[in-house]
Amino acid sequence: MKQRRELVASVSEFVRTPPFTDNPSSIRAHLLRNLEDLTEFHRDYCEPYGRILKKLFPQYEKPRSLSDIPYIPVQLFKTLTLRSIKPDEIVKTLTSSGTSGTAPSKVYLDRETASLQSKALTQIMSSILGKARVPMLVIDSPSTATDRSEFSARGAGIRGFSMFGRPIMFALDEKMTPRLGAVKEFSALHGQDKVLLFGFTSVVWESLLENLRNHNGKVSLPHAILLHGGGWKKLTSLAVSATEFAESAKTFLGVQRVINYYGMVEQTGSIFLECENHVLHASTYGDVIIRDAITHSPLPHGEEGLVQSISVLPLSYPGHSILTEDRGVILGQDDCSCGRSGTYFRVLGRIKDAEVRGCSDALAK
Amino acid sequence: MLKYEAAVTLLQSSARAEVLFGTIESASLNDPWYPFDQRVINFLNDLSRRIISSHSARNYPDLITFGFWCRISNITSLQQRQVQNDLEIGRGVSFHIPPSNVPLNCAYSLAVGLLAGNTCIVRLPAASLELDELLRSLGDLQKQQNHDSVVRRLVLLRYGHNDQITTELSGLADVRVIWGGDSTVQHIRTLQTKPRCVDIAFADRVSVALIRSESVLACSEAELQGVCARFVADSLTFGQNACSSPRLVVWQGSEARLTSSASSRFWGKVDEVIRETTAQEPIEVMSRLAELCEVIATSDVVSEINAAGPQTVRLQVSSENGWLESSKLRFGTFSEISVSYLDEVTNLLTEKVQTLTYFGYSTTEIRSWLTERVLARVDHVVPIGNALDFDLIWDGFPMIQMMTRSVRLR
Repeated sequence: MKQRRELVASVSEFVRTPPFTDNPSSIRAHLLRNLEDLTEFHRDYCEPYGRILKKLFPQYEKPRSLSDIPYIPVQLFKTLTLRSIKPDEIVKTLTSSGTSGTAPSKVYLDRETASLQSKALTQIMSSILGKARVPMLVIDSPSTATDRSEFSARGAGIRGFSMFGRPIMFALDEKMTPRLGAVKEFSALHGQDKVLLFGFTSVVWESLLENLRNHNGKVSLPHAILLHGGGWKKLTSLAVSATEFAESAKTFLGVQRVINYYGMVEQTGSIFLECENHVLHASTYGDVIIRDAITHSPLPHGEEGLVQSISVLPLSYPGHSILTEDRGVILGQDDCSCGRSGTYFRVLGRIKDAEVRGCSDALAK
Repeated sequence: MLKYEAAVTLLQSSARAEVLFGTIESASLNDPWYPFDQRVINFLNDLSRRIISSHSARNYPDLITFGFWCRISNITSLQQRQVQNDLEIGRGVSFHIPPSNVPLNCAYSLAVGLLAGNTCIVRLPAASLELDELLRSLGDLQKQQNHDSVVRRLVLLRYGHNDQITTELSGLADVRVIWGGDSTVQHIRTLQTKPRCVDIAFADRVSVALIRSESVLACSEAELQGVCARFVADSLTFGQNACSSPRLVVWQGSEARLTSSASSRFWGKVDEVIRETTAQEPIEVMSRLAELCEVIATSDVVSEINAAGPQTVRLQVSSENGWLESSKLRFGTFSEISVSYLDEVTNLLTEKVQTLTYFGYSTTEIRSWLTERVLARVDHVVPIGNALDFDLIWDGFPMIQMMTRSVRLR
């Protein structure tokens, strides 16, 4: 097994390679080796993970492909303390509330992992923004961004992406209604520049786009990129499609380029960005595998199943291979007409919450 | 305070409760009746007829099962098992708090309450299709004047978590029927009742299946199919969430070799039955995996995973008491223990065990083992396939007796 120092060096070097490469097959071999090392590392340094591996994947030895890498369900970050570092090495704990009423996910970062995450995110973002910082309009309120309470995944997201913006302005006030003056000022100042608009999908729709529509407010930001993520669950319940979302952004913000991203707090940094063809792309630093929702066997491209998300970044916790509750489908690899290499896929929503039937807890919450 | 005043006060402060059947004012004016009053039996039988003949009810096996349970022939046979005594009478008003997630548990609860001679106030669980169907059938009976006297004894209402309403309804009750789990029972017990009110409280329980290896090997293919289908029904009708669904399977065989071939024969067929009959939800399979990971990550009770297929997950548990830890796993997860003699099973049973289902033993054999050794450790002992059958004796409580009052006459 590699020493931790070697592993950090190997992953750090890997993150220096471009996010979308000309030589995908050699990169994939390299990714597999890193994941093999990560699996062994976490097995030895995270006791609960080691126990799960031993009992659940007793046959695991040398992985021949990415689908041989063991995976754990994403819910475990809510119910177990999973880390491969000593408590005094924790520099940051990421949390997400998940669905209401459930415990938040807890992700423990050390200095190296936090740094790898921001390096990877910078690499991926530079593929759409370039290297320099750009003016940024955050579609949220300033207080969300400064809210460091345990449950604010939104706050953490805004702070994470803020490193790409300068100056940064906020489009919403504390009541989550548009600060029309600020939005107009931003458009007057940067209407001709490449700018980044960033927000959570449901917030962008409900608090900004719907409000602009109701008040007939319009601005023009023709060179802006609207980056949004956090899931379509709420918009699906409102019956809003991606096309409608993009149309509305075009009408009221004058935005030509809308980019959805897919990511999770358990794999911060190695996010998946939508390309011009509106499909999500895995970068060099990660990948996705689709598994049958009942048997959990890997599925061929084109078949719908559960998304298993892979990331080379998690060094401080065993989150390098996670089975999510999201449904998705891989559309292909290395041959998207956008020109990016790697796996490209769609996320189709979350698996349905089953009604849990039983005889406990008539009144308990 | 008079009953009527109490009821009116209640209505004022409990406006948030949605009353779906009957009224509290009229209900609280009823006198208790003798148990198994003919009017109640007729009412339940009419309800049964409506359910069984309803086209839409056919989509809900739970409802049909209840329909058969409350027909006159079954009720009279249940009555015959009761000690006949004309000095017993209903306690008065019964208040039922059924579980939220076995939708029709409330139907059995109210039927027993009525049969015991009581007025029943039932806090219904959240709406579900089968419950709506039951309410429709009850609504039909409400329109028939011949059932007026029984209809007046029934109040069905629905409200969110609200201690004020629960307290006020508790204040009307002479008996409360509190379906668990433990935390609900503990909580409801903190809410005040009349001094003489009796609580029947159902705690969190777990259940066990006992199988004789030699009997599985001796089964014909058809017999095997039958017992496996019954086992699956016991286990998965409520996603293994019902207290009486087995979580532990104990194999009794004179030789390890026999048990090993019996269990592979049995589980092979069980998996096949599940594949053919049960629509597994991705979220259940996912939760099963996550919960299993939690248990193996935090304890040593699982010594080995015997099999982890898409239909069932079977765990070898390491110690006699360890299985209670792994018994919280659901959605088709079974802990397994092998023993050579029936006596070894005794040590596996604790006061947490509600139901023991068995296969491969005669009633006489089971009865003599039960009465000699294990009576103190289990509440229901029934053949595999009958775990979910509702009975007037439940969780060790003779429900009719507990909901009636006995008058001493010398």
